Formats: sequence, structure tokens, C-alpha cells
Amino acid sequence: MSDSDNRLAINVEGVSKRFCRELKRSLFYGVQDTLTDLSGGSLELTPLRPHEFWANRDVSFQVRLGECVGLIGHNGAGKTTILKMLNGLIKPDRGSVTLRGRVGALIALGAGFNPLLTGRENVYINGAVLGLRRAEITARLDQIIDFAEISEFIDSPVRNYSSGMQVRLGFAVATAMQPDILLIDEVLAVGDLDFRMKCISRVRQALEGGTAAVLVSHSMIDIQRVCTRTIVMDHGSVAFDGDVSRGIANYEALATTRQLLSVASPTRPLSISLVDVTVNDSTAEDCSRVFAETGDQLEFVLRIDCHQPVQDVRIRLFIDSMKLASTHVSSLTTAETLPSLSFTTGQHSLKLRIERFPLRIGAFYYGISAHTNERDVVFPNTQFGTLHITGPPLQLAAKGDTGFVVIAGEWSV
Amino acid sequence: MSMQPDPTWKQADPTCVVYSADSALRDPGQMLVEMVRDIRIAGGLAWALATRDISVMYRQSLLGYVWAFLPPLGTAAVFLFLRAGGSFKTGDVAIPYPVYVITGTILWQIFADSLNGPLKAVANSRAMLVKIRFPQEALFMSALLVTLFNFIVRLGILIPALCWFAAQGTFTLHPTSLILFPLGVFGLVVLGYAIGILLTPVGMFYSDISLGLQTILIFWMLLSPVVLVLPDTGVAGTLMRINPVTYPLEVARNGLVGAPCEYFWFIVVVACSLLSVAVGLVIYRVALPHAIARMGM
Repeated sequence: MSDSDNRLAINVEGVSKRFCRELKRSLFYGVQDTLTDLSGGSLELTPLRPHEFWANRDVSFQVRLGECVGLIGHNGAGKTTILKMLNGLIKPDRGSVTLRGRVGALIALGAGFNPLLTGRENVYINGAVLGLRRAEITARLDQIIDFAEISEFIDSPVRNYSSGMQVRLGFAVATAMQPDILLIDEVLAVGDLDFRMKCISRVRQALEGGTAAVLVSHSMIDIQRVCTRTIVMDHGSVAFDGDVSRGIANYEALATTRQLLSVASPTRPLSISLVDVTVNDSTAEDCSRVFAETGDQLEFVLRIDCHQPVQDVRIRLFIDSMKLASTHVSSLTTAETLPSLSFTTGQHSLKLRIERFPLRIGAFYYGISAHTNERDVVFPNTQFGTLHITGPPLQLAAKGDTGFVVIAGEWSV
Repeated sequence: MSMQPDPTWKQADPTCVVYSADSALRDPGQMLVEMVRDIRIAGGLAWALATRDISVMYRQSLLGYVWAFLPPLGTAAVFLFLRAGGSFKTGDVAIPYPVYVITGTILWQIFADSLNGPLKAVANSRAMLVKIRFPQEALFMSALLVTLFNFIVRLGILIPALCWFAAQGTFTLHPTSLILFPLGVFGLVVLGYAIGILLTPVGMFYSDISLGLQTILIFWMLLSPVVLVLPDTGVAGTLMRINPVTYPLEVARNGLVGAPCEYFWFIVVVACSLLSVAVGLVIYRVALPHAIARMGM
């Protein structure tokens, strides 16, 4: 790696930002902060005031040229606040943000567009807002119109444009400025598929040209397409910083702590509970959130409480995908290795061991159900927890591995 | 995963920007450099924004630019009518009353426009301010350009009117008016602009400023020698003398006929205004990030 590849573009050091939930107080604090600033004081010394909370807490990360960092997290996790501080719109209350180079933002596409003016007039104004000189815009006008695919409409008022056309024009102008640092907030999610792919390839081109980018998106697909690294934000702090696929798995793990269904306790002949899950022979800390990697050895230990004798029962562990809206991925049943399984009244133990876990990076639900051979449900489908396969990372570019399951096979020539 | 910054990072780099919790005023030199740099790039943007605002202003109206001078002419007509009906009397004026009132309202209008401009520009650009980093001083500069444009349109009616009255022989245009009128206008613009810029930082937080301003301006106009001729003595006289608008207004209007005016106070008002513009720009710059943080996402 040469020196220029290694150059730091963004350095965020211990940044915190507080907000106030109540409007009147918030305004008053704003005036207070302005006066502190005017008197030459530092906001570092101001403690958290009544009704305030930390929107960002002690956030630190670095971005180098050519890197694209995906900022992911729930709504309200503090992603946009970070982006606004990077853009210099708002000021950190603790810590500092250092940026090197020309900053471009794909945040409010077409901001400053006036609906009464023509596309061409708006290109010049929008370009000026983004810091382009008139001559620079004129030089790139054809390229902008081309990219936005609106050559026939360029001299009609923007108010006659469809929303997609406005966004396309906004994107075309914003990317024409060729910044050193590119900040992108949820803008790849607009427009039709064709245009989105075009936007993504434009962002990739910029990255190859040495631009550093920070992308905020809820689309994990876009994050995987463009980013070289992810930062997962949770409650205003960095919860994870690193590899894209691991980051996504971590983000999905956060999501499940909020979504997990409560385990039902049915009044059936038997009840099944999970005692332990071990990954490579070490017990998982929390059975409702199991972390493992592809190829790991997994063991599930179940306890079965029978209120009455049960004959010919099959117990099944099922795995559903979280990403694909709970699509059923696979199940393992006792019918194959333990046919005509029967339990007497009392407590029993059942173990399931998977030698090489075949699922690739991603998040899954897992649960248990039990049926008798007469297909009577003795224990309904019950989700026990989530399974997070966090590695090894997929190497799409280097190896071309995709999908969510490993199928053992051998190539020969 | 944390990477250590490379050693070149901390080197002085002209393209390096640091945002921190510290006050920008701790390093006034750096702040001045950044302000001057921003104001220099803001020029082109201000021009683009002003042309946008001007071309859009009347695009959807039939009367178009007539709306630039209709309101002050309307005000002038009301007062001419009231005076003719004997509702109020005016003292001695060096200029015929119709000329006095038309010139007065148009001059007042440029003061009021200059005063309202900065806050209005910020309020109208709220969506842009919260999302995009651009040299924010451009908003003030474009407001000024729009104000000047509107004034030039109004001159298109004022100059023929003055010439017509002069041709009627009701008064004589004095040659000094060529210097004094623009000088007075400059004073009014700078004074209005200074007040507008000083009010903007507060107005960004509290809408009381923009709400109260309209009412205050009506009273202020009646307490200035715009349509009424205020006496030199009594409470009204004192008010007129402490009212800073009086001085540039008199310079512009009295200059038309070569009547005397108080140049000393005019210079004091202009100097204080220019200083206030500079101070106001610094306060605006410091207040903006705090205001934006409270303008919503």
C-alpha cells in the first residue's frame, strides 16, 4: 500500500453531541451555547442539563482515502448526527472532527431547487450551493444532463418533473463536484433500480479515484455493494467497527433484541426448554442470541418436561432467515436418527450436535417444535432465539462466494 | 478495529478543517481567515441565489415588477388622501408634500427591506441550511442584492415622478442630489442591514423577532419623517432626534432640494452600522451550528 492510499481523510476523536427533548428548553440551551461560544468558553465544560440526552457518546473512528464506511444502526442511533458533524453543520459538544480535503455531500439532493425554474437554471444554482463555480458547471453540464437522463426536459420547469427526475438531476449535480470526502445519507434508496445501479457505480468510481466516503443506509444490500467497512451505531455509540459482513451480522443482532417474540408456554402434554447452546464446545452466553461462524460445531441441549407419557414423537429444530422475512431455511428432525421416540412422565434431556454448521454470514431465527407421528402438534413452533453467523467474511471480489449456505463439493478438470 | 493516524496527519494542511467543542473565538485569526475565505466564495453563490429569487419573485404574477413599487405608492396615496381630507396637518416642508411622501415611502421601503432581508433569507433557506454546508454568509449577500434590485425598479418610477413634479415648477431639483441621494440610500441600507444581521441570530431561535418586526416597523415608520413631518420640539421631536433612520433619510431627501441636514450624525450612524455588520456576521457564524442543531433534521 502506497503512502497516498494510506492517507487519513476523516478523524473523529471522542465526539459526543447532546440534544434536548423539549423544544423551549432546547432553544434556550441553544442561546446559552451560543453565548458560551461568544465568550470564548468551551462546550466541553457544560454538563448534561435537565431534559438533555447524549445523541452521540464518545464516538471515534477514522476513514482513509479510498475507503467507504457504511454507517448502520437503528433510527435514532445517531448516524445522521455524526454525518452532520462531519459536514460541519453542527458542532460537537465533546471531542473533535478533523477532515482533510473538499467535502461533498449527497444528502439533500436538489436542495435549493426552485420548482418554477427550469432544470438548466437549477443546475447552476444547485451547483453554486455545492461550491462549484459557474465555469465548472458549464464544463460539466452535458455530462450532468446525460447522467440524469433528462435531456428533453432540461428546459422545462422543475415542477413538471417527476420526483425521480428531480432526484436524478440532484444526484448528477452533486457527484459532478468530485470531492475528496463524500458523505451519503440514504440517497441510493431512491429512483428506479437502473438508476440506483448507476449511482452505485458512480460512487465506486469515486472510491477508485481515491475519494473517502461515509454512507448511511438501511439497505444492507447497498452497504454490501459499496462499502469496504461498516460501523454499527447503537444508542449513539460505536457498537462495532470493521468488516462489512460482520458489521451487518452485528447490526441484525441488535435488531433482534428488540424484535424477539416472547416464548410461548403452551398447556400441552410436554414442554420443551433450551438449556444450553455450545459453539465449538464453549457455552454461549445467551441462548437467545447465539454467535457463531460458518463451519463451527454447534450443540443444542434441550430439556423436555412431560406431564404425561408421549409416544412416537418427533422433535424438530428449525432455522429461518431473518433477512428474507422469516423464510424457512432448513430443519433437523429426530425422525431420522431417533425414530419412534417416546418419553415417560418426567424430565428428559435431548441433544443435537451439528459438526460443521453450513450457513454463511447472516442472521437467522431458530426454534423448536414437536409433533406426534399422527401429525398432532404437541409443542407448537416456538422461536427460541437468533443465530448470528458473523464470519468468516464473504470475499465476493476475491473468491466470488455468495449466498447463505455452504454446499460441500469438489471441482475437477 | 482502530487505525492510528499517519504521522502526516497533524501537519499543517490548508485543506484541513477541524470542528471541535471549543469556541471559534479562541483563535480569532483563524476565524477571520475562514470568514474572509467564505465571504469570497459566497459572492458567486449569492449572485446565483439572488437571480433565482428575483426571477421567481414575480414569475407567477400578471403585474410582475409593478409589485415592486405598488406597496410604497399605495402607502403614499393613503397619506396624500388623508392629508387632503384634513385628517392631519404637516408643518413647513422644503419639498411639496406629494414629493415628500413618495420619496419618503420609497426610501423607507429600502430601509425596511434591508432590515427584513437577512432573517427572511435564513428562514426561507431553512431546508438548505440544515442539510448542506455552504458559505452561509451568501444568504445575507443575496438578500442585499434582492433589496438593491427592488430599489432600482422603484427608481424607475421615482425618477420620472420627480422630473414631472420639477417640470410642473413646484420645486427645483438641486445638483447636490446626485451625490446626496445615493449617499443617503447607502446609509439607509447599511443601517437596515446592520439591524437585520444583529437580529438574525436571535431570530433563528425565536420567531418572536420576525413576528414582532412587522408591528414595530409600522410604528417606526410613523415615528420617522417618512410620511409625517415631525416637529423639532416636544416628545415627537426628541423621538425623531434619537431615531437613527432620520439622518440618512434626511440626507437623501433634503439633498434633492439642497436643504440642510445633519452630516455629523449621519456619519456616526453609518460608522456604527458598519461596525455592527462586522460584529453581527461573527455572532451569526457562531450561532449557526447551535441554531441548525435545533432546526430539526
